[in-house]
Amino acid sequence: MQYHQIILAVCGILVVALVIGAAGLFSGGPSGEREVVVYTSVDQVYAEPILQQFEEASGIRVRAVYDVEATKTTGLVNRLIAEKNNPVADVFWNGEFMQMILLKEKGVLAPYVSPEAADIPYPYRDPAGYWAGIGGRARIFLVNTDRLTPDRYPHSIVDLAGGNISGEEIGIPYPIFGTSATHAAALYAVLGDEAAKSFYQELKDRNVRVVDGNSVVRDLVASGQLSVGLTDTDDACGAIEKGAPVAIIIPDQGAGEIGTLIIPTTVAYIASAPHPDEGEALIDYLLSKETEQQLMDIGWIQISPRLNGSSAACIGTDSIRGMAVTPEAMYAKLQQSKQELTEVFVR
Amino acid sequence: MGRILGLKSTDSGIYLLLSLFIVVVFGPICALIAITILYCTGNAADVIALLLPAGRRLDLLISSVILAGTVAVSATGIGILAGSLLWEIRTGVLSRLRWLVVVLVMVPAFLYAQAWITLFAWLHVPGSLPAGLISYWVQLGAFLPLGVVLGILAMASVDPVSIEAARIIYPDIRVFWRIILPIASPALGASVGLIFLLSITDYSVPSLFSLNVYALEIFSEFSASSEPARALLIAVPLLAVTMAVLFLAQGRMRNLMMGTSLFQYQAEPPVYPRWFVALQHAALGLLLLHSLVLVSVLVLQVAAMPEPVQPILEAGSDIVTTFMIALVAALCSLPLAYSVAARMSQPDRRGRIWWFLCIVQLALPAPLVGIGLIAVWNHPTISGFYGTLAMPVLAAMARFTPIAALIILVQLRHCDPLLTDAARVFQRSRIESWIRIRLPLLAPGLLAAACVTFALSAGELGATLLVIPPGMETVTIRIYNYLHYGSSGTVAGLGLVMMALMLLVGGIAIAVVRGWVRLMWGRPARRGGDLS
Repeated sequence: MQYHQIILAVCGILVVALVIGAAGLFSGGPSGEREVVVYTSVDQVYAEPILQQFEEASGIRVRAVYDVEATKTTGLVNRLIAEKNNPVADVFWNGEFMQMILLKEKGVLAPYVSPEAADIPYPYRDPAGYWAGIGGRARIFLVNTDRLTPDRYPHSIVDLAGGNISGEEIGIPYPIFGTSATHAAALYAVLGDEAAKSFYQELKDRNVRVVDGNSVVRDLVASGQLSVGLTDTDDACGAIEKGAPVAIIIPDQGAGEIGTLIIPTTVAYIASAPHPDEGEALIDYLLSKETEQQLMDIGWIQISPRLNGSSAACIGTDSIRGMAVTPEAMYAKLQQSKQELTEVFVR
Repeated sequence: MGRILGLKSTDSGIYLLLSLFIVVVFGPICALIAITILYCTGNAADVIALLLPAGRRLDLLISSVILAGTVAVSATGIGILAGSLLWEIRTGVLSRLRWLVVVLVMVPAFLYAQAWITLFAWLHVPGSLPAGLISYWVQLGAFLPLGVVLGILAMASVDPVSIEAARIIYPDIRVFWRIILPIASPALGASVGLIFLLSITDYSVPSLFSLNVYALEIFSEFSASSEPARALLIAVPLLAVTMAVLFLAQGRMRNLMMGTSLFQYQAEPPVYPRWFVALQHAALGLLLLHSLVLVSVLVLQVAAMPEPVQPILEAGSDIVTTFMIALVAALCSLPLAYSVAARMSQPDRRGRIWWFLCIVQLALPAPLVGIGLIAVWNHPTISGFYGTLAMPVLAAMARFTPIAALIILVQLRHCDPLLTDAARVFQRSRIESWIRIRLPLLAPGLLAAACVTFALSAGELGATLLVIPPGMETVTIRIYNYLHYGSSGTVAGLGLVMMALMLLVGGIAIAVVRGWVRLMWGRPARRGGDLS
């Protein structure tokens, strides 16, 4: 063998050694230590302290993977599906619920009925125990109080398409990602396909500003560049806490109106989880009333779906009427609504 | 197979490296292709519709190509103007400071976007500015440093003897248009190709400005269907366009002149007309403007924080993780990239096959690489490997080793074969000739490849997120997390940490190149400029 071939072979062996070395640098915790692996799309700044408290309370080490907004919070869902045959995660703690139905369909989840979920009503938990939801967010209008007088505030979602506010003053996030996509699917399920698509087409025709996310809508309304925006309660409450001239209006709360969409934070157990006991312990902890209250205190959730549940102070009321639609009905409309609204909005 | 790819039975070392390259780089795409074939057998009706863009998707593809093409051509044009000016700076502090532009190449594009968004908010710039225009402006700023570096390399690729000869007859400005630009055109073609690739596959900057691009369409499809096969099929038109552009650039690169390098003497400084000098300074001013906005906005945001050091301390383990992943990926990719570059440099059909295989990999969307890696490595039989730090290293290698190979290929084409032939004749031993002649000749290319791989690995998000071990995080993942809930001070602080990492690595690389050159060949001729 030529000398330079020997050098190249040595380089190849070094490459393998380095990669295996990298593997050796992190191959789990010390042997015998109890641990649980959680994938979560709950924002890291909110999830991290809760998981640290669980570690302290239980003595179980938590290894978390956090999703990021740049992947439209689908990175971990796709990872869970890809890892289905050899799962790494024990628990999926999700900022919404639609992906849970997809994961259940794909056989990624296993049922676990937590005692902590006993007072959570349907449709905020799966009847077969595949997932359960604690407090969450609601879809609301954020209005700029400097630009709009109360008599011009919108009260129903349909006011955006035909009310007394011009389209240029209104902002919505793209209804094909995240909670906006879920909201669109819910409107398809409640209003019917044609009416829902016409509603969004009307928004498009009125030159409503369509922006990249709920937080962008919030910023544009808070800075006075828009009069009204459709966003989530977490973003809206953040603007109120910062002292922006804004107010929250909960849409469609009158008699005969459709109610607003409430999006619970959900928890599920992964089928064939490597650490089953620790996984169940974490699920119980995350579904507890104490954790729910803590998440409300730090601002991740604003509404509790539990019987006699409360709401955050920034909402201004404890009685919010959700839409009368099941998660399965919304999920059934998700693909269709995304496809149709992509054609309407994505240039 | 070995015969097709140009291998002989005596090439055992290169065989090993190429086998590793195939497993690491082509493993994920092979897994994806297998998944896609399975999908196609059950959904034949969808395949044509996904493969052939029509209507809105066609419009989106065309507008994405226009955006990427405009960014690539302008960044290269401005890059050669600024690069030609920087190339003329021969002495003093400025001659050293000009290499800071190498550090700017490594700054992720989203940090430029973050800086400009903040500046627009401070200046109350109306949000109704066209999204395409702002995306173009920010992407231009993000890729301009690369254009300038490649512009400097383009200037370095011109034989000064040709310039001196032409200057006897023609004025300097005519020499620039008639001699320098045509000779430098291979490097400029490579610049257009590389920047086009980076721009067309980037959806982060356009999406921050609410601009839809084809790369985001692939993500939307993946998001809606959770079917990697559908996303891969939709990505095929983008792959085809990118490959066409890179093949054109490859044609230019394959003609790169032999025997020129950064270390030879330069021609005497040219005397250009005022209008041209003004253009050069305007180009350099644009580079400085983007750099100044980037650094000053980040610094001001950090300074405005009540406890600016705290978020950086909290991210301490993430910084270490990022550094380790990027370092191991850069080191491991070098031998593999060298082996492939050596194959690609063959002027025959086999060389072109390796080119084709590498270019396909370059244009593959990052999340699909992540899914492919899971399919390859997540098996119970090798479970000790999956879920470890080796996975993000493999993700970075899978995505960026082909880029390292292209950089090393350029260096291989710069190496004078007469030198290696002479070394072969006079060598005392083959191993000594390899270490004393071959390796020093390749050193600048190897170091440049290592730096670029390091920077790209440190900023990687799409594939890393899918394979990062539980309980670990990179600085980039943390930055994107903080971007979501508007912690601009923390994002700025972590952005500065990333820049410091790049500065450290870039500085070490430049120092090593200079030290090596002096060790091997003594101080370069002072008739013109050099790396100092």
